[in-house]
Amino acid sequence: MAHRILICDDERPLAEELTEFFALVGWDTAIACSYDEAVALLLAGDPVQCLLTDRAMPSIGGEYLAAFAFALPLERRPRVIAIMTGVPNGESEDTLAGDALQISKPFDPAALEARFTQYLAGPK
Amino acid sequence: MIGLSVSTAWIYMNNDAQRTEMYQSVRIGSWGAYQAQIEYLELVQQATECLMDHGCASGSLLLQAQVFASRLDVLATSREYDGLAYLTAYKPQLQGLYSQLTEIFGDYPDDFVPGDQSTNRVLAERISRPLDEAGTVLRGLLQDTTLYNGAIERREKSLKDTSPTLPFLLLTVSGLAIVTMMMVEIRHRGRLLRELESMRGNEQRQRENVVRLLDTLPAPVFVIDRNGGLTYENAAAVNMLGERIGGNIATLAAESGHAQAGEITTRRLSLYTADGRPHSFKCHLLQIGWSDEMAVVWVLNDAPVDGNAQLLTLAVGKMAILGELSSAIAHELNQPLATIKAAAGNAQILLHRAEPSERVAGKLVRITDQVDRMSRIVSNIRALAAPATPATVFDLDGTVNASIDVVGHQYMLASIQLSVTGFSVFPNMISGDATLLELTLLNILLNARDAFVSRGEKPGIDRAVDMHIVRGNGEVTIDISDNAGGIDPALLPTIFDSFVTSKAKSGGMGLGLAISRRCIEQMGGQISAANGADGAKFTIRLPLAVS
Repeated sequence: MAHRILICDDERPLAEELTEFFALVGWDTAIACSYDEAVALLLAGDPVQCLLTDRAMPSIGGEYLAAFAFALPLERRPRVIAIMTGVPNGESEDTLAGDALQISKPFDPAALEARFTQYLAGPK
Repeated sequence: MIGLSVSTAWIYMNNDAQRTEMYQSVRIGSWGAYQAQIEYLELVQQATECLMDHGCASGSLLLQAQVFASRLDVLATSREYDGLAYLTAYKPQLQGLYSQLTEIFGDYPDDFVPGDQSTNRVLAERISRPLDEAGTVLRGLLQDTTLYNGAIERREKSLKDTSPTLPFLLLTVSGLAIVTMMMVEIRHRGRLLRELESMRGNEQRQRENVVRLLDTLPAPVFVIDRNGGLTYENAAAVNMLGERIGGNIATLAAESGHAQAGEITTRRLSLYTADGRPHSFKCHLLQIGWSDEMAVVWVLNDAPVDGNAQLLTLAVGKMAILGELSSAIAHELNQPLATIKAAAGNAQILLHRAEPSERVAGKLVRITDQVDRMSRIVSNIRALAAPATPATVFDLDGTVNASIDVVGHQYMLASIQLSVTGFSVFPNMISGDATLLELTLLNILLNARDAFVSRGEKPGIDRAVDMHIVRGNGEVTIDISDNAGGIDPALLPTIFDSFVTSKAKSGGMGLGLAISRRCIEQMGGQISAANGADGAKFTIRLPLAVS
């Protein structure tokens, strides 16, 4: 059974390319371009195992989306949460992001997918 | 000194002569009392004869009595006894006797018959009583004056027996002592005078050394006296201010009141340099003694050198501000790069799987779009990083719009509402480097964004930055205020100094505002910061090139 990933970025071209990549390599994908869209997908439909979100987004940023995901019930909580940022080394290490992975743009989607797969293969 | 000694001797001899004259005067008084005593005895004898009918020379009794009365009057009114209290005590008694006798004489008519025995007897009886009293008084007076004269004679004899050598010696010794003391004093004062002259010479040499030292200093140095006049300027000051020094004196004199002795005070002043443009200087001033009065020494820091060096400084400043903006720039570039990398990776997969070429072509179009986007970003950065140029006249509104274009996306991401108000229908033409002003505005706007982000609270629609432009009095004022909580009050006084930052944790160098101030002051303007009710407020004032 394929893993499901939710990709959230206000940069629609990037969100679309990442979604397409994960779909091409066999993932079940969902796409959102804002905090509100992503929250709706996390609460409804099939649970996602992996959340990949941009940090800097209008209105509410990726740290808050990650914090929301960490607070979900176990059965709906993503096992892997990653935050993308365009600022090298992260501009603000917000504790709200918890244990989320920090991904600096630009990055290699294939390498990232391999890391996600490795994490998901580990103990729950 | 010789004159003083002669004067002392003269006073001494003169006093001695006066004493001698006084003694002679008292002796004369004694002689008068003695004559009165003789006349008294003769009068008594004649009156007695008349009373006893012995055939007195009655014709002379009245005359004899009148002569005696005159003698009493002379003694009573004489000033010879003045100063001798126990002798002057006789005067009232003598005066009383004289009055009694003259009263008796007054009772006798002009046809008095001198040979009439009975008349003489009556006269003798009437004067007998005053004569008794006069006898007592004259005996006492003669006795006292005789005793006094005896005492005087003894003193005179003593003086005559005294050798004149001792007073002369005493006089000589005292004169020599005075001369010696005066010579010692003259030598002492002479030594003090020489020391004072030596000190003045040392002071003069020290001042000359200080002047030589100041002449060699690369920093401009002025000395302003207590009347506000320029008393010294070194070569660096002459080179920097040239003919403009006169226009700066009033400013320097007015600010000299802040100087204190023994303590260096720092001020920041705007002075006119040789090219006629105002320039902001960090100044150190100290009150010192200079030519017998207090004066204020001014040492100017961060002075501009020449035109090329000034442009180089600006270029370095621009690079530093760009460095401060590097995070925002990196973010802007990394966004399209991430899309390009993802699109390229997908294109490779599609090509490998022999997917339809339209899908691959779509990736190439997307990549091209992102490359164009990056090109625009880089063009903006290159414009900002262009070499500093000499001043030109530019429209403020265009610069403000360019700044907003750069930060617009950043503000949108951070949900910051940016409003600009006060645009004028007339162009606000500014003289200077437009990119310097744009960098300054960018620096302030991105600092406001960072302040909102660093607060860490969930963003909402209340994040606001307002830029308000006001034109008037030959200048334009740009107020940029936010509601991000304000500047740390501890940092506020030095917020425009180098390496002062509230973003040390995130790598801020603290150069942005320092360079911003330099940029604004280079354009003849001023920049200031303050805390408002709920955030920071930066104010930029620039002179209009065309009013």
